[in-house]
Amino acid sequence: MKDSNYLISIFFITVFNFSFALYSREMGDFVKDIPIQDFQIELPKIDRFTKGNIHMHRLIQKEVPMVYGEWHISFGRRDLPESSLELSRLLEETWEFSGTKLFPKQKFLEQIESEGATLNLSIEADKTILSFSYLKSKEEILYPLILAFWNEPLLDSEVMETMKKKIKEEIKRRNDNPNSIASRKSREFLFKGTYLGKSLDEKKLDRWTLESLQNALKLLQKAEKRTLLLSGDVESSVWNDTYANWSGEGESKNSEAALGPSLIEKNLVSIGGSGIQVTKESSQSVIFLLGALPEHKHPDYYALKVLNYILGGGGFNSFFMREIRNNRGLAYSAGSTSEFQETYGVIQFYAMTKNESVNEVRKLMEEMSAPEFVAKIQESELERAKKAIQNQFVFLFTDARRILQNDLKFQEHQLGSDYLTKYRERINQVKLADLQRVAKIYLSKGKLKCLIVGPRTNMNDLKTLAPEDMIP
Amino acid sequence: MKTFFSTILISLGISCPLFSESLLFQKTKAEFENKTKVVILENGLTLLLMKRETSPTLALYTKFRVGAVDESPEIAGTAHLLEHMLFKGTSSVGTSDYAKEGKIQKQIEITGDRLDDLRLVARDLKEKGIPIGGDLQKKIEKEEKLLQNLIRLQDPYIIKNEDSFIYEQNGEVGFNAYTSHDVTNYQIQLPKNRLEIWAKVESDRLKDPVLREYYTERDVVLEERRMRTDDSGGGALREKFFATAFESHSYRRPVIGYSTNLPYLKISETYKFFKENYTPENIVIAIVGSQEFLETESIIRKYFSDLRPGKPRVPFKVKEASFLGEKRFIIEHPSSSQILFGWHKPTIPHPDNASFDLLAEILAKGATSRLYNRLVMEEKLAISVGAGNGYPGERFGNLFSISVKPKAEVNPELIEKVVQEELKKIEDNGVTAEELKKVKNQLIADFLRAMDNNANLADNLSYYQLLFGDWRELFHGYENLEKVQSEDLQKIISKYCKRSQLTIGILKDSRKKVGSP
Repeated sequence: MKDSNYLISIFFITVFNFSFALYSREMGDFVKDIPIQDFQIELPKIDRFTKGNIHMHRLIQKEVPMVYGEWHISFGRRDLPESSLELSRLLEETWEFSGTKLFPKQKFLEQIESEGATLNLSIEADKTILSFSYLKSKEEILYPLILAFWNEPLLDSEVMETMKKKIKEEIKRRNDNPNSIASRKSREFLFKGTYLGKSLDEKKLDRWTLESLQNALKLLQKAEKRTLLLSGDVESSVWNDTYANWSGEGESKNSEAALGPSLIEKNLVSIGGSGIQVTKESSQSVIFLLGALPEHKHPDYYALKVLNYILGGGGFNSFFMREIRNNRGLAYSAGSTSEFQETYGVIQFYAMTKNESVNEVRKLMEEMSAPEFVAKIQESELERAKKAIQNQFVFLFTDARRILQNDLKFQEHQLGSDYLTKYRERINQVKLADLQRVAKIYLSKGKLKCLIVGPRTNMNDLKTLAPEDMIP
Repeated sequence: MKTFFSTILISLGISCPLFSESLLFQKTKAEFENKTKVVILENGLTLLLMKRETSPTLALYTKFRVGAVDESPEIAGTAHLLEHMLFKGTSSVGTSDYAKEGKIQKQIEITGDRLDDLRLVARDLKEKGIPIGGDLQKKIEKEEKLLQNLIRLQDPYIIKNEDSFIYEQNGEVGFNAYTSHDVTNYQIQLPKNRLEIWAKVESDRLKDPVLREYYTERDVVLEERRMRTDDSGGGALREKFFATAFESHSYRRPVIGYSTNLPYLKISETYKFFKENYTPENIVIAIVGSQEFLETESIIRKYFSDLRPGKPRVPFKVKEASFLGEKRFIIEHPSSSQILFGWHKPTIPHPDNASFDLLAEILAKGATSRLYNRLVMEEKLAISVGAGNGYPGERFGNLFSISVKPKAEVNPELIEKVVQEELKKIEDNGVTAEELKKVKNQLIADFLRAMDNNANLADNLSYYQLLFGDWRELFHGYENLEKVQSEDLQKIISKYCKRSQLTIGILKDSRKKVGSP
């Protein structure tokens, strides 16, 4: 292909047999007699093409006659005026339901649905994703429809008004259960004062007019850098040579600065005390401990990944599940999640428990996430976590869409071309000392802040808010 | 269970079998058959294998024809509690020395049952306003102390979550289980070279489970109930909805049980439930992924052939027999308003069942469906609508249902009026050929999307094999639907969707009264 940079990536990785030598009798002895044969996997070939400002990542899988696509456009909420969440949400919904010049309003979605296709538009914090899927046999019909959706959208004022009302109703419904409140308030808490920390504001919705949406749309359509992820039965797809139709003009953007871990830390500290409690009538309370982590490409990533697995991310055998659920029966769900992005990371320890047990569970969570607790982690726990993470590696490659999404994410996070080939080796290099070191940096006293959603507690170290109160 | 995938497949057909989609479907069916093998072991266990070489992994689903519908009212929630308990190990897994631990476990079971009986007597007295006598109180305290001491004695012998440990060390993904009204399912995905490990662990789980840590897990289930039902408006509404719609049939009871009976579910009853229901003729194992059939079959035979067959189940006597007349209820909950509509109807393979699948799609699938268009886009009365066939299960006569989330200020009567009007329009005028074509295209595309996943395939193939005796019923549903015409939709609305057969449940936001969050 002319002007393209064609690259085939093939990795051969041997899946080794990790034995259970770690535990002598107790753990895993039952299956010790079963031989496991090593096998070699060939990671899928990803074709990468570049022409101008358009990049295409393609993975052919012809088992099912479906085409899957995702346009990733480098224009997100933070590039919109005021980084407005209301504007981005309103634009998404109005765009999707307004149709095109040829098929206005509902007629457009009728065309899409009549052919069994899907089309979704999502304006995210840092980029916009237009995803679609359809039967290969319908490609000639669907391609011009999708192109028209991008190039010739109608933004209809009546549709916009309908969507404003719909979004307002969703805002009213967001305090229905403790989990959804906790999820929203944790985001507001961690990312306060940034484009990521905003929640929809009913009053701000009405400020945006059809003209605001049209201006925002123009900016988005001009965004320069675009990547198309294409998978399924795509060997001879019309998408393979349509660069001209999809190029952006590349106007400069006026973006809010990207977020960094120091800002998250600052946000967490600024609340004063140990955190906040949000009152909600319920029989069960949600407890979060929230903290800042470094960005994905940071050298501490591997140690943090393993530490999270041991403490709460590793399912039934994590300390959180074992102690809070299995030993004490205090929660159905308890654990931790770590998230690593291009410029920041966050960790969230969580549990849901009956209101009477909130004090006990919070205390346990704080104990089990502290550096003093991490210092007591045994070599056996470390080995267990490393082996589990390494043996799960093969599941990164079971689904073509996920393979391409990960491939793009690894590029965007600048993880280097050897990220996948070295991944298991780097996990394996994590030592107990690394766990202790990162725990001191990221989990030491005062670094994690508490968020509780449920009926008011007697915890005086937490600031009390109602679900719709702003984080101070 | 009415799964996404099954909905797709049952609903695939429209009028013209010569459509290219129809040919594509026939081709897909033929490819499925070439890649699939069913083996029935001598003890009645069914093994269903499908070969897919998209990755060197396997999805392994074990499904049991037992769910909440198989419980008596007194043991509501036992099928689900048992599902939790089967992760607690066996006499070989989860223990460092079962010869010693087993004796303590037996004592725990006897003491626990005795204590549950005493606590029930105390509860009964308390409810009647009769003081609990000193003797009873002392007995309870004595048994509680004894139970706690026994649990402490047992604890050093327990190896917590050993099955989970084995699987995680072998690279598992999605090790989990679920219980519905109809079935109980255990699932996992593993690298392909770990099949025999799975077979040894799972067959052991079925032969010799030990319900250790029972009382702690019973508390965990209470926490799960708080999360799924008590603090969830939708969960609370559904529980009351099924209890109202079904007056006599077991589908009226919640899978998770009640907050009033869960704390007293006895361990002896849970063991009994296991022995009566977890028998090989009630099991389908589906394995989808990279494998050689002969090798897989040989491993399964090695580990599962010695499961002993159970006694044949006696068919249920009680069937749903509601009095005619509309049933309507309101529940108050601190969450936003929702409305559920339901009409009784027959289940698969009744000839009318397929038409309901199509009706659900035409009313509420996608942004251009009839109810979404009218309620959300045109009249702006609601923010979402849904419709489904086959709730809460498909082993017995069930419900066709419609759900609506209205805007806060909208009177539910207005929603009801629109729903009834839209049904009446179809009853009077039928649907257009374009609508039928649209649904067909949507469904075949959804079907193909869902096919591209080992776990989805294993879940759905095992479901159809277990409930309908043949996984090909997925495809038969399509062939049945090819025959469905507009007149069939008119007929089922006229026959089943009558006001006298309707149940309506309304969730009213209790916060509006008190102004609390």
